[in-house]
Amino acid sequence: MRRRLLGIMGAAAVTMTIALVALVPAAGQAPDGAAKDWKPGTTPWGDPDLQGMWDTRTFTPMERPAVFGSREFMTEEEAASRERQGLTRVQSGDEDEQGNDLIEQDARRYATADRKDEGQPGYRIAGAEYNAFWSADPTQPKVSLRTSQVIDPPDGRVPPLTRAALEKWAENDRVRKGRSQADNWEDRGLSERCIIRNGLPGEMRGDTQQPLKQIVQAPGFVAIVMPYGYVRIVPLNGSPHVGAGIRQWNGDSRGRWEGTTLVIETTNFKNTIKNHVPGHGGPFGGSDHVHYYLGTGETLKLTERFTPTDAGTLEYRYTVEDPSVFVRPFTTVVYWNRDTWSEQGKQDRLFEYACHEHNYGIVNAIRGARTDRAAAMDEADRETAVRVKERNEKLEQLKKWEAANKSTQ
Amino acid sequence: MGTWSGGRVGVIALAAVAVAGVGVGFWLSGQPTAGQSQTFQAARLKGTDKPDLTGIWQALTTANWDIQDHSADAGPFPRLMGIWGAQHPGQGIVEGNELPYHPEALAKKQENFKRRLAVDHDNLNTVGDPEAKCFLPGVPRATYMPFPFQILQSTDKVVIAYQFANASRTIPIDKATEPPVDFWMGWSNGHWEGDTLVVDVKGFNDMTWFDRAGNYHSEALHVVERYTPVSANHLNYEATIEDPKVFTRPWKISMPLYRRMEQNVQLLEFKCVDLSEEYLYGGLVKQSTQ
Repeated sequence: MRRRLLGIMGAAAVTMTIALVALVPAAGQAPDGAAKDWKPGTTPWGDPDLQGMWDTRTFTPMERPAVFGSREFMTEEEAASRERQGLTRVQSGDEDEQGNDLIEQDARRYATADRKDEGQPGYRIAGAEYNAFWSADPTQPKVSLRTSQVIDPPDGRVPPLTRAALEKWAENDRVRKGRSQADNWEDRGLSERCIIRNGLPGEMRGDTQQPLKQIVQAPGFVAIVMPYGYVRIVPLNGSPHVGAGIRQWNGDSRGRWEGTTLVIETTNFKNTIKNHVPGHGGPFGGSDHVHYYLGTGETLKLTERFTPTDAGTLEYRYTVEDPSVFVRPFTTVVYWNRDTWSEQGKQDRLFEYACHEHNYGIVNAIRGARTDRAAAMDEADRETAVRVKERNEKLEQLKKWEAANKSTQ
Repeated sequence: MGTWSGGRVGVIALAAVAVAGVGVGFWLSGQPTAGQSQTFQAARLKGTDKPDLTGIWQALTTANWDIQDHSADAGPFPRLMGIWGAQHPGQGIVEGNELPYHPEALAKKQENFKRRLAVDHDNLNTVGDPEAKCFLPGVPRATYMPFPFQILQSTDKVVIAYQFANASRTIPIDKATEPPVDFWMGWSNGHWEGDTLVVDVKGFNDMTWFDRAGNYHSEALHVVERYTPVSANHLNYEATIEDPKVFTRPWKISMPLYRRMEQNVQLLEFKCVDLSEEYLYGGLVKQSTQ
């Protein structure tokens, strides 16, 4: 049941290991809420001890698929069926189920990929850049029967984007008009440029390529070692956030204990909306791309709550408040599992993420666009078409929400 | 673990002994720390018997320009940068100041210096100073770059987070393992010798430098670092550098590390990737429009 993959990924030459566990816990095991009377251990300096390597993959889709209607929990049978069908990377509301056989899954992705000019300079396999080998086993730790990570609003869906955000998005596309796929590096996404992978909170959620997070505690601090190249250092000393003039890709975090729950509040984010160009790299991107093409505003306030619910489980909950991007706040919950491979002493640290250090991807993209500008313009048009489609869907969502909220007022 | 990396490391270790007969003695005898107070007793990590090194630290040397003695200099772009770009004078951090290069290795160091700000799009990661490109700085350079770093100490692990390029190391204590692959920041294993945290680092690639002067190493680099508290607000830092492919014997650097005392001090993001793109890729755009 155990697999260990060592990968060097394509142009960015990312080195990482993924220790995977396909855990099949007892049916109905503590889906929500703590085991009664259980308390986590404490560090020698008296803080609740959350240290260890955590597997953050989740079986739960970000948004509730339509098939579940308004149900908050699925049945055991539905869970078993979804697990069998490997729905881990299904996009929200998408019932087009994939097989869980890796080779079969790849074959399907390649078959539906946008192939053109095979063997020629313009050859592309958009949508199938990475085969399933790079992703974690679709059989995932199953600790929750929730039908969506989003628990508020109660419909299990991420709230619509504001008109201002959609306008900003449209403006980004207007700016890109007449530019090829890679006239220069800024035409590529933040992840391709090795600036941020998904950012917060996207990177805290289960990512099938590198699902582990390592928590290390010191007196007065919690450090969360992130798989994509940095350590989140969270002071617990009650000090105020840095001044508003300081803006960071991953914001500025402060933590506190509420009983055995670690609460982290993060502000001072950069405005990443303006960086939104094709490719990965949205703070709400990740294995289920909810907002693939949109960043966050400087107004983002992220509140995370880490609650140990039993010796092997950490409930991870976050609330996003960003009035410049979402019409209302939303809250999600997932469960992190102790990575037993690490617990057995077989992996004691995450490998470094040296992405920028070998980023021939950007060099080659720019050279490619200059070698065959027509193809690069075509590709830019294709990327824009996908974005316009998504933006129109978001606009419809907003209109529906506005109509519904008017009628209830 | 250890089944397939042990061979290479073993050969290197043997070579080190063979090449550096004198050096091994030097290394073993080099342990007592210059300037170390015999009486200072560091505060303990609460609830343990180990000294608490948690804090934000910074070296105050000009070694990032050149780990050897160096004079003031105009720097590479005086017309563009004025005194912003000038090399600061400084005394080196190398014990005895001499670097025991093999002759052909010294030639490569000089070539490195000449091409320190060159960008070669076909050899992005092997030509030019990695610092200028915002690459992970390696060890020991990360320690004496002009940026703070933070030590976060737990019971069985120490995390060191560096402001430059968001580099970091997770260092298990008393649980040494062999490097499974090579890394820009190496593969660190820690243990305590009295109040000194000793970190043994190997598993490097050959792409990081020691400084802007082009001092460099191969993938055979082996660094042993020693962090010793000498007052409530100072650590003494020593590192023994061994690389038989580049140097004829091991050599040693040392410097104090100062605790950053500002009430509100914290590491800030210096994710310099986006700041390096014009430098790294700008030439591609300009070339093609000619």
